[in-house]
Amino acid sequence: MGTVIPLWLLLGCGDVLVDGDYPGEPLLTVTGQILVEATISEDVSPSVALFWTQAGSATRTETSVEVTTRFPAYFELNAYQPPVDADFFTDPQGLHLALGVLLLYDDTAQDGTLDVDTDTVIGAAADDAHVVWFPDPPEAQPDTPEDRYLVAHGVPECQGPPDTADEAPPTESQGIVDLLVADPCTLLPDWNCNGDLEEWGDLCGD
Amino acid sequence: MILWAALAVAAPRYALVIGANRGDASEAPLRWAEEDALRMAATLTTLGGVDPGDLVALRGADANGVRAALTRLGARVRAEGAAEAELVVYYSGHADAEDLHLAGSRLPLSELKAAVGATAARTRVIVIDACRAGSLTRKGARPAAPFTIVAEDRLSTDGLAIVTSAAAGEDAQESESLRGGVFTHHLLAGLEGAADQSGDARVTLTEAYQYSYARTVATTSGAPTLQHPSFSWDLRGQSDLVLTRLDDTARGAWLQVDTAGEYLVLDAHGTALVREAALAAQGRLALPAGRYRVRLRTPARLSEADITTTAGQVVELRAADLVAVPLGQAARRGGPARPAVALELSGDVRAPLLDAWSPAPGGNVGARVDLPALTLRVRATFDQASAEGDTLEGTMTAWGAEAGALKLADLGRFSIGAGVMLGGGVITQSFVTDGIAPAREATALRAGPVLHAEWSPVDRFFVTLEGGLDTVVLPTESTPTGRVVPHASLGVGVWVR
Repeated sequence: MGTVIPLWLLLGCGDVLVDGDYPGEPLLTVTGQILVEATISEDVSPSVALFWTQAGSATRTETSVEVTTRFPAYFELNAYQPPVDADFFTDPQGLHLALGVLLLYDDTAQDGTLDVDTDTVIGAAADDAHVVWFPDPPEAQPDTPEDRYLVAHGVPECQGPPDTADEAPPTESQGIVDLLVADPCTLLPDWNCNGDLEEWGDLCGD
Repeated sequence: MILWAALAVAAPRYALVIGANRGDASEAPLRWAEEDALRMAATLTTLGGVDPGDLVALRGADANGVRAALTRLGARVRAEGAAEAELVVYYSGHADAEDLHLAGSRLPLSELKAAVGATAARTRVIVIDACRAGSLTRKGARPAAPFTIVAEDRLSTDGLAIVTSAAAGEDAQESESLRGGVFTHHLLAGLEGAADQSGDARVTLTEAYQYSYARTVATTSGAPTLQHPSFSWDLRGQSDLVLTRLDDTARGAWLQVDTAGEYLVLDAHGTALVREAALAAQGRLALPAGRYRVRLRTPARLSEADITTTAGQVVELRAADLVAVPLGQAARRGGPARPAVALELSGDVRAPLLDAWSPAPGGNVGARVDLPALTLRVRATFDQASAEGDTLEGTMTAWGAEAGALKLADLGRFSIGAGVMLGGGVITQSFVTDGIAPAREATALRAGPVLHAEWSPVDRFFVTLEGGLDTVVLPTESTPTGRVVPHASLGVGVWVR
């Protein structure tokens, strides 16, 4: 007996077509939960942003995702654009890479973008979790992950730009990060190992 | 069948006109037999020299009614001057090879012929428009070439002439478009002037028969069966039989044309056909006073003009007075003979097919055929939409084909209508981004109604404006998805034949 193809299957075949606000395929996905260690107002619209940064200076905000105010809250952040050339630097191991930190902020303008002038950072990743992004072409650098990124926990002392050659590589995770609602100045990595967070500029230290 | 008497100029003329829509109980009623009889009566009294008091018209009579009418008429003819009298007997209705079928009764053809002879009129013509009556012309019938009667015959005004609308064994047909019997329609047109090939303002029996024969064969050539009128002359004398006179303008209104051709005369609205006639250059056609739309039909085009005829006047219609009808409209009006074929080109814009995409401008190219009932069209389509987001720019292109039909109505040089289009195609999405956004491709089907308007400033060129609603089925996250997409287009076209 032959195979009968339902007529409806012939109506519109092929790839799934997307709406015009399709952002592309995610290059990077970070998931996790938001834990509250400080009191926040019900008026707060918590959102998550990924910052590519060198030596703590905030360069750009990438994709942010709005989270609910149910705590503990879970989030998923997808980045659709890679870091730009200016975000990359060479670490003491000679790796050319970009570092990204996750920030929890109050999206006052409700525009999905962290504006340091109007929005308030209300938290950051625990355990100094950060994203390490490796540039293209991957064959130029050894041990580049297949997805070209990893989520590391813990920051070697004096990273950015570090001058020690024997620091241990960061601990990797499966892209799961805990974000803490707390003073970000207690959470942000001290990249330059000078004991303060002035390198974070408007976010902390000023 | 139509019974027709040879008409001399000064001899008294009498006529019996019979129309019978109902025949035997088993026969479907005819639609126009009785109207044909009335039209023949009008022609006889206006052009045929029959005084209204000398004409008897029967509608729906049975056999006894016809017998009684023949008896009374015969008595009058004998009493008032049979030696010079002429008698016309016309019948339109059901019949077979032996009898006329009259409202459930039968009148043998032989009895009819004998009754007509018994009137003692000097000249008698019988014309019968009915099925299978050609057997009446077998006896004494003269062989004739398909389109001419033997020229050497010097037909006289003494004796009997019989003309039937169909040969023995053939059906006589009514025409919905002619609104009458095919043969009677053409015979009337011939008597009213179309048959005056000699241009002497007289239509003879020879001319009338030749014209009606040719037109009947031509008209029925597209029908399931052909119809061949037949005749029988048993006449003596030295002059052709004059059936109608066209120079007595005081008794009618006239259309005269300067270009030979096939003319359609319709009512003022251009909807109902009054007369169809092939006229010679300077030919003349009698019409009741009134307003008409006259069309000249050639293989390539249809031209028309509006006229008003007044009793006692001749309206001259010149070729320059005729305006070419747009070919698409001509096809819907039944002429020219070929369907009108046109090429179309249009630009359109479609509402966004998916969320956050722009409206899609595009174009279409195609062809269409204008038939009397419908306009059929096929075309290739193209449109393109764009999207711009924070992380990428997208282009969505659709290539397709569609087909459909329109029902158009004509209003002067404008035509409006509605229809349905059905089609499908391929939709591709491509993106420009620093990230990853693979191209996508899918097929889609669409169908929907359209509203159509067009303007034809000249007969071969037209401008179109169209709008519609397409239901598009395509794969999205909820597959398949039907989207309703409005669209509008502006285009041009040219009829190529």
